Amino acid sequence: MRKSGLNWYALLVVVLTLLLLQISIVTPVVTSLTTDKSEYLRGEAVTISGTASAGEWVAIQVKDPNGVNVWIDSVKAGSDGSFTSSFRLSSTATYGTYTVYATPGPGGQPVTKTFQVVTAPPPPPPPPPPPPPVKKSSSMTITLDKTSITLGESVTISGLLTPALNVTVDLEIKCPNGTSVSKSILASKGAFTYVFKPDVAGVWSFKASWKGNDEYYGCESSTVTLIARGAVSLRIFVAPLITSVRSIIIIYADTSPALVDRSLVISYTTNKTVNWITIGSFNTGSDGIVACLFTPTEVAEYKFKVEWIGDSIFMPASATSPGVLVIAESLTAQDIVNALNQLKALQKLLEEKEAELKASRDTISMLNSQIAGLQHDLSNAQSRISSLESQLAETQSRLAEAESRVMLIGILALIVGLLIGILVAYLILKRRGAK
Amino acid sequence: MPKNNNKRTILISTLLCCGAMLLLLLTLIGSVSASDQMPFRIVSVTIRDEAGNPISQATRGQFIFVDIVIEKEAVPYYYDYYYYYDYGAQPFLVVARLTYGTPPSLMGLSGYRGSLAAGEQAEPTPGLQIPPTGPSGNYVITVLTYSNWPAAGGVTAAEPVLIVIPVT
Repeated sequence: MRKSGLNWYALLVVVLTLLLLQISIVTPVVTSLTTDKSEYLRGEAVTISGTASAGEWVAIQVKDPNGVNVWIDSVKAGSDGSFTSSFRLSSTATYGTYTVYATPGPGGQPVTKTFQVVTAPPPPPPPPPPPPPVKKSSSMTITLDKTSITLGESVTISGLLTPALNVTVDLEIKCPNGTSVSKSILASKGAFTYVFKPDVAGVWSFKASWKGNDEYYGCESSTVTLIARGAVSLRIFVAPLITSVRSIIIIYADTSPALVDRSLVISYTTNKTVNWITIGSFNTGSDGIVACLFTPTEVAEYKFKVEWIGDSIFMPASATSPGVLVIAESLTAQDIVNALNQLKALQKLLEEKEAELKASRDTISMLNSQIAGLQHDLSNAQSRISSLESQLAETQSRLAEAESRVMLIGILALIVGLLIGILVAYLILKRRGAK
Repeated sequence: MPKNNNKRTILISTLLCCGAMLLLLLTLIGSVSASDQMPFRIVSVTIRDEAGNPISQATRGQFIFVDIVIEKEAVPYYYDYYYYYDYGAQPFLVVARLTYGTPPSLMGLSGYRGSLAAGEQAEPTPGLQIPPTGPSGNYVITVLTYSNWPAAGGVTAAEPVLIVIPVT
């Protein structure tokens, strides 16, 4: 009876001891919790760090002196058990003591840590202003190797800064349309050159400047100009190409690049004359276009010509139209009716094509919205797959770790059980021997 | 006979202790494999405007909703902060956190409390307002799940989910 009671007593001691051992194994804990500083200013970054059980999630919350939440986070401890969470304090953060709470989970006990938010020290007084420097004057000149070029050629701009310094000077290039660009050029012993190729015809101007240094005041050169002459392309259109005597012919000419408010001469000739007869001079509009009306007076083939005599910026040019056949008979009423009918038919066709185009645009818009919806769904599915894959990998890793732990614990359990069994047997035998 | 009794005593004690250790080992296996799991899972997070339409960007001052689908895992888990096999409903706290910059500045916080039984889903939709005078750029919405507020002993109950939303 006593022997049996002793055995049960020994067994109870063993089981209770090992239950305590189990609790100490599986309960996660935060073993340390710190902040990178003990005092912070408003707007400063706070870094919370600590150590917990390896791979354990740690829930973090920070409250200000009034108990208001200023930060909350969940971070996972690394393989070495370390974890970190950072945030920036508000620029209006309350002064006083802040409390950091960190709870490892599941089943862990919360740990707290405090830090202070304090007022900033007053700013240092501004440094005294430096004494005004004593500077010398400087000067600069620039010249061009040519004052007039044809578009496509280059011009070399040479400059000289006095005193002869190795500094960077700025060359301002003003375009014919009024816009400016600036180039930085390195001067060697005060001398510098720059090769420039204009891309539009007109008057270009150049001016160099230097902002100075501690020893010399800055300076700038006088402005020099360059005329870049460009070629002009003319086109002439006439309508109709067949007409009758005393009907109106429309003559239309344009210039490229567009010459604005320039005088173009329009003239004509026929297959019955050899000379060109001037119709008149017409000024181009802001779009570089001129137009005029002409009434032929005889049956013949007419040709028309537009001429630009050139100026200091644009070179001369001319263009000739195709022949216009002027016949004696005018169009009949039936011809006009037929032409109107054709015009109506063309208008109807145009309306049909516009309706088809609108329907196609609507279809494209609908398909685009469907594509956007499908892309959104695809993005959600991809992120879900990615999340599941990472969860699977993590679970496999933990499973392997758990298996190794179980093996180790099993071996330990058997060894401890063997030792405790021998101990219990020894105690029982000793008790019997004492009796 | 006394010699045989001694041998029997040693044998029985050793077998009982080894058996107790193996029983304990089986308990440990259950707790080690199950306690690494999270009881909840964030199934999806969608940012919506005031009319409930999904959006991928927002403007300063705009009020947005964080549409969260949360699920209690279908298998009943032994979860250490309760210390029993849980077949009933478990409480949760979902927090939507709006931050900007690195390190992050807290620009908004919103939460929802509820409870779910195994296999159930819930769809809390906490609201957040983008600060009207805040900076423009990429804001981060983090969905955090706890068993309670960490200051009250709450622990992480689901893996956090991050969404970046450009703000103009």
